[in-house]
Amino acid sequence: MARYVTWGILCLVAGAAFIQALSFGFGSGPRIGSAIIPLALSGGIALLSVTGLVRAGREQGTDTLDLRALAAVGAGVVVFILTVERAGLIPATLLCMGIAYAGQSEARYLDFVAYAAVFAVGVWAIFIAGLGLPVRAFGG
Amino acid sequence: MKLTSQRATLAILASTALVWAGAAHADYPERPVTIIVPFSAGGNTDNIARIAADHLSEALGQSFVIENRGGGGGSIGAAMVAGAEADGYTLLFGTTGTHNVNPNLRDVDYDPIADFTPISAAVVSSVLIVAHPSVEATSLEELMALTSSDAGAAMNYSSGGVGTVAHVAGELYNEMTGSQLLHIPYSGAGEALNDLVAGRVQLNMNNVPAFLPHIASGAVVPLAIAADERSMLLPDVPTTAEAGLDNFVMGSWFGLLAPAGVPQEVIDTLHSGMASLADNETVVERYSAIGVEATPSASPAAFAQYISAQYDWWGETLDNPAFQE
Amino acid sequence: MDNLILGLSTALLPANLLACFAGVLLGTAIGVIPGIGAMAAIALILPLTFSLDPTTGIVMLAGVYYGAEYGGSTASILLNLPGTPSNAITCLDGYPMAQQGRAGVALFITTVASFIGGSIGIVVLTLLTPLIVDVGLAFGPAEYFALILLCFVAVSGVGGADRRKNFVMILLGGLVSTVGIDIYDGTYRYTFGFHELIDGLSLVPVAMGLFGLSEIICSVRQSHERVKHKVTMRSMLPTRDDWRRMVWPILRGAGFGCFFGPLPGTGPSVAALSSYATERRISDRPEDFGTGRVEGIAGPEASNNAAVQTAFIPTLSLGIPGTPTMAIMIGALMIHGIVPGPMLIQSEPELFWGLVASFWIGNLLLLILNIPLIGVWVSLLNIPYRLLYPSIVVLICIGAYSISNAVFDVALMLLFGLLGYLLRSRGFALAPMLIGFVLMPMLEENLRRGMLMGRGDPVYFFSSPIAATILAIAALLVVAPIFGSVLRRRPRDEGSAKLPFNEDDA
Repeated sequence: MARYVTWGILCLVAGAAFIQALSFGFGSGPRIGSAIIPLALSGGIALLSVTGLVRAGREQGTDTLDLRALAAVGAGVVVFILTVERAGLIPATLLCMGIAYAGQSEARYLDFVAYAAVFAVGVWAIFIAGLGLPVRAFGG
Repeated sequence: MKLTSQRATLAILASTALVWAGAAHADYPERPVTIIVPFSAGGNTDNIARIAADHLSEALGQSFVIENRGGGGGSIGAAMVAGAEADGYTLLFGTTGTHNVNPNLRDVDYDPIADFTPISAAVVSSVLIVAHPSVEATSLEELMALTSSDAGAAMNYSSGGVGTVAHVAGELYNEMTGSQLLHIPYSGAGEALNDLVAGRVQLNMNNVPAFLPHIASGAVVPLAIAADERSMLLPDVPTTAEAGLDNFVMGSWFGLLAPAGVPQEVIDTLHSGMASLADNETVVERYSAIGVEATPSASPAAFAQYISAQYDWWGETLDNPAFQE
Repeated sequence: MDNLILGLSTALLPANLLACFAGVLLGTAIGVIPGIGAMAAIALILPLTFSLDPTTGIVMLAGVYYGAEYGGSTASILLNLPGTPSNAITCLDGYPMAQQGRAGVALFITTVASFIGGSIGIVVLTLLTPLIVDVGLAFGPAEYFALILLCFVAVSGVGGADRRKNFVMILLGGLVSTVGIDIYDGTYRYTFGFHELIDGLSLVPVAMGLFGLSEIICSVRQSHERVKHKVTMRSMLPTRDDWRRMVWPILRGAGFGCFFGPLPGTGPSVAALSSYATERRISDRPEDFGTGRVEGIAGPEASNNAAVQTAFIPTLSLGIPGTPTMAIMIGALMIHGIVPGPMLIQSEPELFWGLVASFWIGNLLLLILNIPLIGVWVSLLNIPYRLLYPSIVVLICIGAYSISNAVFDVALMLLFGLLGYLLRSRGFALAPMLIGFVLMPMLEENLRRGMLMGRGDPVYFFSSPIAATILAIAALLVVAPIFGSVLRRRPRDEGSAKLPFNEDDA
């Protein structure tokens, strides 16, 4: 199933990009407009995706996605984005690590918490104290 | 006697308190000041800003920290400072691009005049017209004769993209001399220079810094500087007016601005720090190493006037189909 | 000679020496840990180098790159898990050696082979680059257009996955690269009203997402066993027979590395595979390969290290990156306002010769780091991955944030990370996508510039003998994909089963 979805999405994205590119300039004479290359690229992707869709049934490969790892790591990054400027770098680091940690099945939270605390201090020392990253350690 | 001295002490204390109250910002800066550079680290603006920040830290006894907020051709960092608290602890290192070109060319999230209190320029750099040695012109006059003839239509000039100083200078030159030079854009001034040195492009008109090493090695020939006075860095190069091209004066500036509404005392303190830029030997040395001269403004008002005059000039100049997007 | 002195005096400056040391140390550490490759490591470190002098920054980034190539073999031998993709082949004979109690010898041989291969690569780089520069000075839009086209053809032919997928990835990378203001007419392409997108997507969040984050997601639940073998200095000494057997494979391997390193799209993995295949073919007992043959680790390790050094040839002489890692190097130089290309050696001699000299120093440092300090690296392998990966996620986030101190870039990184993971799981190789992302703007610029310079006449692109020749080669590769299929022929039964990711991320 995933093999059809991938080709399908590629085809849709390329189609949308193609339509959008029609509004860019086409240029004249020796001046090639800004539309030409995006049109060629999106058109190429769309065509190849259609042939990919047709032949997708014959493709090899497994359709497995590690959804748990994907969700945990993705959510960790999202939380980092939301907290780094509002709550500060250390809370963002701890939250991001904690959520990403849920991506694997081992529990053993005690040594993880200890490790994360030490790591967060190290992050503060290197990036804020050392390299002057313009974010607060705590608070926005 | 005793009484008088007590009174005197009191008087001194009282007046100190008064001064204290009157000048709430007398001891500005009391914590580190952030200067936003709206371009990424390592670029030309960043280099100029870092040297100025080091000087300010020394002159005002408080650290001035550079923070790079690149993106949107400088408009993201500029918009940030426009909306920052007007306490003098967040400043912008603005340029011709952020305050004169971009607002005239496209939508930006700030008003380049109303949202800022200018403090002082750090560097004003003039446009230099340079040619590849294969071009058969040893002076600007000969160049104008050459480019306005049929041979000129086969010649190219390079720039770092649409609406950059080099592009505008080239179109202005075409217009004023009746030439038909073809504009070849590159994705940066450095790449534009490479093809000039290789001779695939014959002319380039851009700020002095980029050219200096190539002028020294003879890879490019300077013909004229688009300024009212000759540059100290290239004393032998005539100005455009001297060489017979009037009203062709342009350049770009790099300077310090605060958000609108910062108290005048703070602006004056900062200006006093910037004003001594040209007197600091280390600064002069570091600036000339990157090919620029420190040219602080006489007063914050003079800088404000300069920026708004430049804004109008660019507005008129950019009102030309060649630059429209 | 003057150049060498200039280079050494630059490379031996305390800051550069320190950067070189830090780079190779970090590179080795990252190479040792399976799951993150040199590519992710370089993308991670790039923002840290913004505040450094350009030479110092690039010396450090390069150190990470070739350092990872040394470290990568450690996990291959001890855990049967390649630290970087180009070390995958080292598992085949390295792991059996470890099982026979000869882990120390295997580690010693791979280090020596890496050192010799790297050194030969540096000599070739030193001699060849100035020659190519002479040719490169004559390169205008027509020649660059032809060369980039050739790169695309070559890249679509290698990289593991099938050609159609590779080609789609090149086009997709190219499409993504068109985001931002167009330098020719100022049109905003695909900016969707975001001011942050006007300057285009920067390489770092794209590369970090595609290679860093997506690799992490892939490897979160990989089982990571602990090292069972103890490695002492004494156990590392090879026998007289080992010495005798490793000399020729090392030299031949270095030859393969020097050949494949500078070619676009091939890089260290292909060099290592070719070396292994050749050693087995010419051996009088090919059936013994895979049971712990010295030749099977010496050749590939020499070749991948020679390849990482010679990969710098097109990067520094023409400004054309042959691999994604080299694309990052070019990005790093550009951020510092240095334009890689034929002018580089002339205008920045300290940078070029300093970098070359730092390769020598770095390789020497790696020899020291990898033989006496092998115990440290082995203990690094024993840190549980469940602790390691959340920290790497945080480092990637901070790295993306620090490009312009904005969460926008972190969000972009996440987007490309998710995209990368999905594509990867469907068998799309990501290296062609990054190559497309980096080279497509160059292709477009040179196409449009060439049309302007030729005043609208397409014949301009065929007018020079160099351009015409390159175009002819490219056409030949398309019509007769023999060359491509030779390169693509991976020993599936041996190598690919153990490749953790389908990436040529070198």
